[in-house]
Amino acid sequence: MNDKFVDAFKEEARELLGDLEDSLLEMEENPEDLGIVGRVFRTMHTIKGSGAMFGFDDIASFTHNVETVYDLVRNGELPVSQQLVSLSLSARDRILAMLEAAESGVAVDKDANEQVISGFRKLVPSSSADPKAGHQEGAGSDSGRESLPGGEVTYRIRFRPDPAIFCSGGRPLGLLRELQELGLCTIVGHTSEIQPLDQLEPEKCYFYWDIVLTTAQGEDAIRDVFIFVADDCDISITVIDDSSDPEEGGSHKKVGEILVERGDITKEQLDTLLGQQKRFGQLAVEAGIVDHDTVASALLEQKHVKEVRQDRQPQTQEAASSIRVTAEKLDVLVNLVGELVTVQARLSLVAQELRKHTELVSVAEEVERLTNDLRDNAMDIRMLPIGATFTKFKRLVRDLSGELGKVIELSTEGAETELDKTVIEKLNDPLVHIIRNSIDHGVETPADREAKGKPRAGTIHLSAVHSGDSVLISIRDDGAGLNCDAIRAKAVERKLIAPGAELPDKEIWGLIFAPGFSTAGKVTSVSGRGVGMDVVKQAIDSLRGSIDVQSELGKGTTITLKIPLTLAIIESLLVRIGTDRFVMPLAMVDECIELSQTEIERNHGREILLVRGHVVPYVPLRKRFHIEGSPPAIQQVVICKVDGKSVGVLVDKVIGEHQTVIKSLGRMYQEVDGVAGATILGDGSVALILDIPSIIQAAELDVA
Amino acid sequence: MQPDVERKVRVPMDESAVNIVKNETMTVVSINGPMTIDRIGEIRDGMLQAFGLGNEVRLSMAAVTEVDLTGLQLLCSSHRTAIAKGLAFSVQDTDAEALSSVIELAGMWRYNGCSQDTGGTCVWKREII
Repeated sequence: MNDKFVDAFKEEARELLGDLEDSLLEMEENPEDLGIVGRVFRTMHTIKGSGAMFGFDDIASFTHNVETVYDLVRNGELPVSQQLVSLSLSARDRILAMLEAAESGVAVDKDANEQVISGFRKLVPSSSADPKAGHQEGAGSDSGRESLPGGEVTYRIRFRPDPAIFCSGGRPLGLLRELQELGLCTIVGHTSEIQPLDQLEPEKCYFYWDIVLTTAQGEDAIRDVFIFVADDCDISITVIDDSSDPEEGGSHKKVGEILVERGDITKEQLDTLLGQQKRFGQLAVEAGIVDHDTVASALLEQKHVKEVRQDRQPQTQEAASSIRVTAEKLDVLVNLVGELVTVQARLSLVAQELRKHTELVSVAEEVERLTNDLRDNAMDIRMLPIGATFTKFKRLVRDLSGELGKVIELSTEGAETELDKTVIEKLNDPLVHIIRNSIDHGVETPADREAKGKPRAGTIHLSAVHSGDSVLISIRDDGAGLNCDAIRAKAVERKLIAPGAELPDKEIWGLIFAPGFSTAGKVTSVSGRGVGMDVVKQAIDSLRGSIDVQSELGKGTTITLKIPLTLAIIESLLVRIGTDRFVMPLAMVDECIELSQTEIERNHGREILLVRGHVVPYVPLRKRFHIEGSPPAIQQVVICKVDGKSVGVLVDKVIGEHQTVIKSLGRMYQEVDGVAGATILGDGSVALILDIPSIIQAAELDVA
Repeated sequence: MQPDVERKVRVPMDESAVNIVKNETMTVVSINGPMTIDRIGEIRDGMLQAFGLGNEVRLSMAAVTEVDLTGLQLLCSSHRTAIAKGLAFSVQDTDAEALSSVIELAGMWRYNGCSQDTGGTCVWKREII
């Protein structure tokens, strides 16, 4: 067997297992929704089928047992219960374990498998277990309505009920609703036979319907809908479109053809009318052959089929055009694009110096345009929705809250928000820490909550939303909130703050990110060891992000992470001090202001300046970085927003915007404060990327 | 449905299915409660009476709680009656979910009215289908 296929299976299985977990949790919330049960069944079925195909017989036979139970659930013979969900989740974990065992060569824990299977067996009522055992080879014998192998077919249905149908208790609307549930459905009610009031027998049915239905469930399913009225009503069902027609493409039948097919007009009538140069529908009505409704219905059929075909086309194309690429290949691509951006900057520089060679300039401009497009595209490929990460937390919340005897619901919002793949990967751990903290310290036990007049079940809400070139991820719980006094006491005890220090709430909340900080009285398996929030802070800092805490005692806590979209290439501001150049992330920069020598002298050595009436402190970088030489007479202050405060950074000159490809510094320089990385400029020289928050923090510490 | 023939006389204040208010230029008909098969005879008679007054008829569906196919049929029929009598007729307040979902399901929405709808006043005419 080709290893490539086996790898593809493993990858696919992992994805399927991810979906499965999602569906199972959803199923637990909506136990009545058979659609979700169907999805779980199909996922199991796919894992079983492809597992068997690629030689993972243990997975196939294990999954088969689970699938058998889900067949019962799907047919309504077995209810969806908490137990079933828990068992299914363990089954999912077992399948993953088998998959991993196959990779690492470690033996599978057969007992654990057997335990799960016997758990499933216990769920099955004995009466139905035996007959089911009869069709063990039931991979293809799925009962119930399964999709036809040929895919979706479009049917034209004319339904003319018995005029007395209302009086006999028939409900045509119910039938129409059932048809709607079978698939994409266009319904046209014909009104042409309805009489004016004085001749109307109000309880008689004058309606008849043309229905165009696209479904994968076959004609029998349609006939089943009409089964109780078939004797009294006229029902005709015709296939008008199936996916097998190779000729189809974007073409579609003309209204006239549809009417002839339906028997509403004859071929001769069609030909006569086609001799005239008008829209056919209009002609037919004018000629009195058909009424408006009939044409309208034919037009809608045309539209319906057109839409179905359009939908089908991209699907088939998509199957061919979407390919799986390993993440490493993408990383290489992005790195190369980064190099290209650097070289392009150099080319532009050279072209500028040799301005006389207009041809060179135009080529350089062309290259610049292409590089920008390429860069945007390459970055876009790496963007992933954060939803998959959110889903993982559903499981985390479910398991942990169960362990701690709490009832917690996790709701999410903005799962479709996209972030760079590497950012998402690095976000996982900090988010786990924050959520664990919320579960353990934040949300109270059901009894406590009831005593406080809160609903028994706590909620944790995860949301992600784009904001400029960042994503805001917030984790909100409706738990106890942060206890300022407890945090203050602990901080004093740990000598983080002076005993009498008056701090605003926000700064006190910030203390929870101090290393080793924990107010939890006891250590649980979940948290309380004081490892956690400082790790969160570090991780978010390394992503160049920031953390904001909002809390209200007794009401809950919201932690908001602001994370840059990407880590590879950023928009930045290029500045110069002496002969050295530095870049700073443009996202932080508010404005640039000139600062003359006289102004500096006026402040008697205090490093502050007045911006529109507000005092803004600044950090002189030349002094901080010990750069020799004297500054120019007029320097520039770049005013940045850090944690909501304006702080300036004094530089010699602001050069301008710059596309910065972030390169990490070597291992030796990893710990250098105030520098977040480096980038290569157009002329080949290196510029350091300033870590503004840490520079400002260090300056604050110096002052204190 | 026979007893209803007697009850249909205009009583604007009571709980009957049809409420008719006439002023100089217009007759406003409101239907209250379900517009379904068990009351459709009564409603039909009410509509006939309204058209008999010879003015423009405005039908308000605001108080309709439920509608079935006989109700939809009756709207079409009323419109046809109006055309035959040369009276203006309009139906208002069909936006409630209980009504619009049935209208949608029965496949009533139209780009153009029926062949009798010479004035383009079809009750099912919508920009979108």
